[in-house]
Amino acid sequence: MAERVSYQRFPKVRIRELKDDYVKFELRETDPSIANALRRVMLAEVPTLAIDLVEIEVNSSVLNDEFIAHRLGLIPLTSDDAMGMRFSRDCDSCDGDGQCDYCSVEFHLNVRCDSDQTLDVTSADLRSTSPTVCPVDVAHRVLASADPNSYDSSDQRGILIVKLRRGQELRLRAIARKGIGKDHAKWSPAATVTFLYEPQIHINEELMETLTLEEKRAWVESSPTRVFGIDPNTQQDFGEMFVGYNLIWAVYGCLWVPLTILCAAEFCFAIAMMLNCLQLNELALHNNEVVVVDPEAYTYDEEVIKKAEAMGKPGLVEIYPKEDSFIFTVESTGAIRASQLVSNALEVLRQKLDAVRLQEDESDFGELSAHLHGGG
Amino acid sequence: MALYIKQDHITNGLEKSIATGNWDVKRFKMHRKGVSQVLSRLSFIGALGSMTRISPQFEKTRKVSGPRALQPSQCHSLGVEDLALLSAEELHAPGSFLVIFNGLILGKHRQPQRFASAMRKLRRSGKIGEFVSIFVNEKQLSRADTLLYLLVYPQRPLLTTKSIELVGYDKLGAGQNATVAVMSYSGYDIEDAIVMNKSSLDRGFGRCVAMKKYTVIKETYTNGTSDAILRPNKEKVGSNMQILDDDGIAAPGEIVRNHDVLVNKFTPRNTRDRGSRDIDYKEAPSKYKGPEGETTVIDRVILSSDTNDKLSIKFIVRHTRRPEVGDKFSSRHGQKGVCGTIVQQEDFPFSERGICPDLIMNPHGFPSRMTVGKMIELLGGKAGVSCGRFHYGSAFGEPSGHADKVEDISYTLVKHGFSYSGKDFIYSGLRLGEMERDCLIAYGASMMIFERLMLSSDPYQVQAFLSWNKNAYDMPKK
Repeated sequence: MAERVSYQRFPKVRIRELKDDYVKFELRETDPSIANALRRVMLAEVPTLAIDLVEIEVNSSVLNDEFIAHRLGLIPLTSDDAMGMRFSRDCDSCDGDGQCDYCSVEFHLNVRCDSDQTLDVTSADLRSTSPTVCPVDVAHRVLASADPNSYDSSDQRGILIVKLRRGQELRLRAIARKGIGKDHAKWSPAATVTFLYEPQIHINEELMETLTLEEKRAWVESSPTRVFGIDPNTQQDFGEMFVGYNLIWAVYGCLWVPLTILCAAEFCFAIAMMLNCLQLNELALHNNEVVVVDPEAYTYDEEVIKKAEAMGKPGLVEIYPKEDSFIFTVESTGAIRASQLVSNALEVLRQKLDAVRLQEDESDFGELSAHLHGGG
Repeated sequence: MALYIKQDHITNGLEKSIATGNWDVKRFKMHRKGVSQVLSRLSFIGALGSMTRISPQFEKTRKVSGPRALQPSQCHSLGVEDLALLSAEELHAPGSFLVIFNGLILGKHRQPQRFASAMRKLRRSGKIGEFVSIFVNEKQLSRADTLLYLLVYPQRPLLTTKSIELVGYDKLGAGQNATVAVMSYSGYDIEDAIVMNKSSLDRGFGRCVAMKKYTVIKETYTNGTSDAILRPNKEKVGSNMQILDDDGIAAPGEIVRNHDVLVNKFTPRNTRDRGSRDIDYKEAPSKYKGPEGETTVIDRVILSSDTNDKLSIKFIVRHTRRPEVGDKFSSRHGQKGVCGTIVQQEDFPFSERGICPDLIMNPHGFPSRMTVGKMIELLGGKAGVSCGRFHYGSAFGEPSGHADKVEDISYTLVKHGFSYSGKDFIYSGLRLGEMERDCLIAYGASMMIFERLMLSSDPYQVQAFLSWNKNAYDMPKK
């Protein structure tokens, strides 16, 4: 029996930029299916908390009850504990009416306008029964006020729910529950999750040299995003270097965190944290050389290729998407930190794969796996 | 002589013609319809639509060109005069209120409340007819319309035209700006159907409130008896009386479901002859009939008397609707289509900037319709969001630079890193199914099939015996 061929790969993650609500990272040496699975899980299957049940006691505002309930649901809530909480449908210590701490958090809202000025009812008026769960803007403001160095954000008024005029009142009880974005977008922690295939750009230098400066300029301008540029004050060529650009990595700390997150498919993600800065190479190149300024600005619009053809120089540039490296951009709604969003997504993905593996052990796959493992 | 002549013949004739719109002169065998038109004053746009309506000059019975063909007889029928009437900025100056009588503007007033109470005093003293009703600010929500649709999150269009501004349509908000991808997707978008993003719907896109009126009349009968409305016995099982108040009428704010009782009404058994003193009643509850599983809410309850002096109870029932498969949507260019399917956001295509459309339209809707205005709107809208300015979508632009030419719009797009044509590259994880495979086989795109079915599927290696033409695992076990 010959040895099975393994398709196991060892993806690498390099974080480029990391903020509370934003992360940009490279995912390399893996297949599009993995990248897409990660994207999908981040969008739709990482759990958060959101207001799900609203019991309205008094509502004399201009908006109707459903309208207000819908608006309340869309307010992002701090959900750092959501991974550990229960779905109310799985909760056995209550019947999902918000009476237990395992699956729900209760909110109260009690506002009445008694002045002649219009009163804004905002997320700041929501009173939470849990110390850890509150609207994200409120949590943000608490953090900002604790930090004396941060800018003054007292003018921020929170997320507007409804406006009241004199004599109008809004009194309600709301229950936030755990859920996932697949069921309703209010539970999605992701504002943006997207990736692009890293473009590989090859400029045909010989052909490029046949262009005049004007033509070069026109060609560079034809790209709607600034992918290419012309370097005017350069003379000597650069030998074997990757044509046109050079990234000087400012490596502040090359922390190889062996955050070994084992998927069932036994992928090992090694996360390297690096800060980088893009700097145009100031070193020697040909005179008025067309250089690649920012390959990732390329949006696969093929404008430059069309332009080259229109100029009668087909093959001036060749651009291919690199099939195994992806640049992810993740923005969080603030419900959880962006970094948390990525690692929670991996956790959810692992749980899903575990479920598949358990199924495989048990049932129908028996015959198939017998084949797979060499039924000799 | 006056005895022999019908004095009000002309008056009656004119009244009839104005009321029905029919102009009949028997002597000349002339029968014309539509001499007068309805001027609906239920909403601003409705009234405007009624006023700007034009009808063909020739008889409808004759053969005319196709339904969508232009009729040159109507060229320039809207002139400067009409636009001047429409803009009427004086009338809408702040702090001034129009006095409207039967739909006609009589004048303006600074203090409407005082004016109204003065008029009411005149009515009380008998100087104005008792049936004249006086209102301040009669609005859609204070009336009891049979059916009223309200958009939950109305928006101002990103692309306007001069006439839209003159009419004030951009201040009214009767639609929403959507991120639209014109592409083929999933096959549920053929024949003008559109594919919608479920997350967008979750966030309130296309949501509307439908208000419907239900009337219950407390009948009075010829023998002097009348219906009775009684306090309900809520404990009774299966009576569906949970939403009733103590007065036997459903309360505002209650969620009403199918078969729920709106009014706990009783009718006398004997409605003909004047019988004994005690009237024998039978149960006759008015029940709400609506689709099963739908939750609607009682918005308002109005008690009034109708023209026959009977008590009429009007329920305004409110239902918040989110778009579902089969609902019809339209752009401003009459490109209508039903919602073919609703797709999860993670299945929707996305761009490398993270833009995900709200809906997808099939490109086949464009060539034959030749809705150039819509294509300009698609471009202008995209340019509008990227530069934060409301663009003009008129066909030719203006030399003054006030309106935008397509060229200017393209320039804005390029400035913000988009293709001048408005095209974008988007990623999509769509499955290539059996039917799609058949199409590719028929077309002969062998490399595509190879890539989709072999490389992009999970590659798999097996040991094979070349001579036996069989796979190893098909072999009988030893």
